[in-house]
Amino acid sequence: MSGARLGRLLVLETRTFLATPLSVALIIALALISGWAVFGGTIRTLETRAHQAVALEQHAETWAQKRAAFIDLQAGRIETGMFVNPARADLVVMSHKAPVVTPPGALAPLSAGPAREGNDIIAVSMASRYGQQNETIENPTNRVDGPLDLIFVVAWLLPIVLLVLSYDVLAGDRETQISPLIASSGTPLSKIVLGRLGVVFLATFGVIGCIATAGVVAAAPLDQLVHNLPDLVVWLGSLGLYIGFWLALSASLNARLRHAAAAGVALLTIWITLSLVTPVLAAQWVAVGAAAPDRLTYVLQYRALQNDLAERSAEVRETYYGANPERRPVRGPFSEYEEYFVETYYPRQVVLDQVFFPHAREIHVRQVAQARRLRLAAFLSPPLMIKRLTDDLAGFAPERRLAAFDATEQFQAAWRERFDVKLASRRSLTLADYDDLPTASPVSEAGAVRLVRAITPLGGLLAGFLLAAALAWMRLRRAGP
Amino acid sequence: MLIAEKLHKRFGDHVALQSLDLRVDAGEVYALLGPNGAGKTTTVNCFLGFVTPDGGRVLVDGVDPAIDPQGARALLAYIPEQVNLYPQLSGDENLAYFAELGGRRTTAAERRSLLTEAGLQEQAFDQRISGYSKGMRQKVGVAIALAKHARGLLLDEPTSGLDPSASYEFSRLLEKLALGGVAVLMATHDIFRARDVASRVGIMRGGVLRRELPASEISATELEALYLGEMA
Repeated sequence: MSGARLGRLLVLETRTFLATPLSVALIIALALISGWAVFGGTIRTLETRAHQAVALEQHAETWAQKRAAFIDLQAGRIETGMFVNPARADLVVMSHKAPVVTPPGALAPLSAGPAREGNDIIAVSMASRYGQQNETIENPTNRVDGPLDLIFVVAWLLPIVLLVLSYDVLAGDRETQISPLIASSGTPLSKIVLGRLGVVFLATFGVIGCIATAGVVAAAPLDQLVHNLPDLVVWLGSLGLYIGFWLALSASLNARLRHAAAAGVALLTIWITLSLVTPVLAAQWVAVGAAAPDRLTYVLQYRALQNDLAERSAEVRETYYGANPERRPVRGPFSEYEEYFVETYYPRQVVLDQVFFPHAREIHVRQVAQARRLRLAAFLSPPLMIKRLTDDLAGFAPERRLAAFDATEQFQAAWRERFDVKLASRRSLTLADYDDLPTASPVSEAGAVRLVRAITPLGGLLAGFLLAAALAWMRLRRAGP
Repeated sequence: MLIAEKLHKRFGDHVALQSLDLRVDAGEVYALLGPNGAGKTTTVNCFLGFVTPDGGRVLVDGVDPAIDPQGARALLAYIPEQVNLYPQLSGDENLAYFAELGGRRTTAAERRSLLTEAGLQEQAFDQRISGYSKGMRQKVGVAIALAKHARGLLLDEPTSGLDPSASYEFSRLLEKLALGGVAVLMATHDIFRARDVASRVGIMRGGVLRRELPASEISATELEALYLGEMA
């Protein structure tokens, strides 16, 4: 069939499609729900960027104010107090939190991620580092009442829409006995089915593709647009394969079945199997091969370690000072607060980090292992594949969280290296200490890293589509009226 | 134009066609008479390539539908006993759709002319098919067949459900098509319509063509008597 003939067939089937109120209503509903999901995702992404920008600005501003206060102190324009002294490292540095930010991923508006891990902004101080964990996976309400994102619509709702739009593409004509007339027309049934499914493909892909593209463009800063383009192209390609997979399944069943209801039930059974049953089995397989992090154990370990260190605080302090004679205080404490925080609390935090954070890192390492296994398990389920691919490209790959964790550790290490001796020895800060501070770069991944990671799910979607398309083609070639 | 040679077809234990020889030339209307299960529809389906013969062959202007079904269908127009169309489309839209599938792009004026020629009243052109009677749908089916400008026309009980006046108009239409060089093969129960429009009549029973005779040489009553005699 020539391109022009196929084009005319598409135009012809489009007219029929548009004359069917249910089809038009479904496409409008799909557009509305997708638009709502992407709108929410875009707002969420813009808010995240704004929060991160504010955090970075506040850090710079606060530090600049402290520096100005130090200059004022040097010039004798201000007096010191118990908790105000720009020359004291414990007051200036110990409580100062510098943000390490993980900017939203290229396709952040399309997915809210598996759960909010709260690592968008990690506030790092000399003593501690933690993310803004307003919502975590441990809170079940977050999972029930989570945000509606586009990938939920695409992975789970879109197949239902495709099923309704295509379940009777040929079986319906057999049932109503229109098929002898169309079969006698001279255009092969396979081409007619291709034309009809082509219209459904263009309608659904067009609606979701345009809405997703609009969201990604709207949420990205101008200088990021080109950077995000490959991710968007990969995602649109995977969306096309995903839609193609479901339509090919529909064509395959319609090639033989004589009743639309039978085709509908068969497709629904496949949907339940691939979208509901297989993900559960895949989760079991992932859990067996890559155990989930046991967060409760980590929390208990952390508490036990804190108690242990508190009981051995004198020993901890001596070890800390003994490890570096430069840390020995050059003067006595101004207050009991200073004595506690500098000589007891801070050394304990250092030891806590050394002992505990390798275990904390294990949470992320395990999540990475789980994600890798899940990407393989997803081969059994196209909905799982596109969900994993989208989450990864949206910035929710556990590898990225691990990178953020490591970046935070490195940044804190640099911060401590800079101020550790001054803090512990109680030496006064100088103006030079305020300048050329260690700064944390936003945690980012090279585009190649993201796209290489996408190869597995994308390959799975391609394999699924090719398999379904080959089956459909073989069956349609022999399809009769 | 339409040739069947030693055609055999079985469906399980049932013999649908048995050594059927048939020939319909261009410009000829051939009426295939017979009771239910005689093999009339199977014969039509063999020409359309919907059914593959177990033995023998059919040719549509030299094209074997078993080998090149699309090539054969491109040369044929077909009107089934029940013309079922897309209910959400109007008669005009259905005609446009099926004509386009048949490779003919039609203008609105051409479609109106075709629907008028098929006998459909003008006010029904833009009404949805869901509101059409069986006869009205049959007329749209005729218009679809006319739009194709096919060299062969296959009809399976085409006048069933048509009122007498519509049946009469339909017969005149077939005569007109035949005069234009179209070969028409009509499977029917309607002895009087067959006698009225056909140039030759074949009587089938049990998959066998029992008798073949020129319609002009016998009256309808004689044909009825012959038919009933063959069925006895």
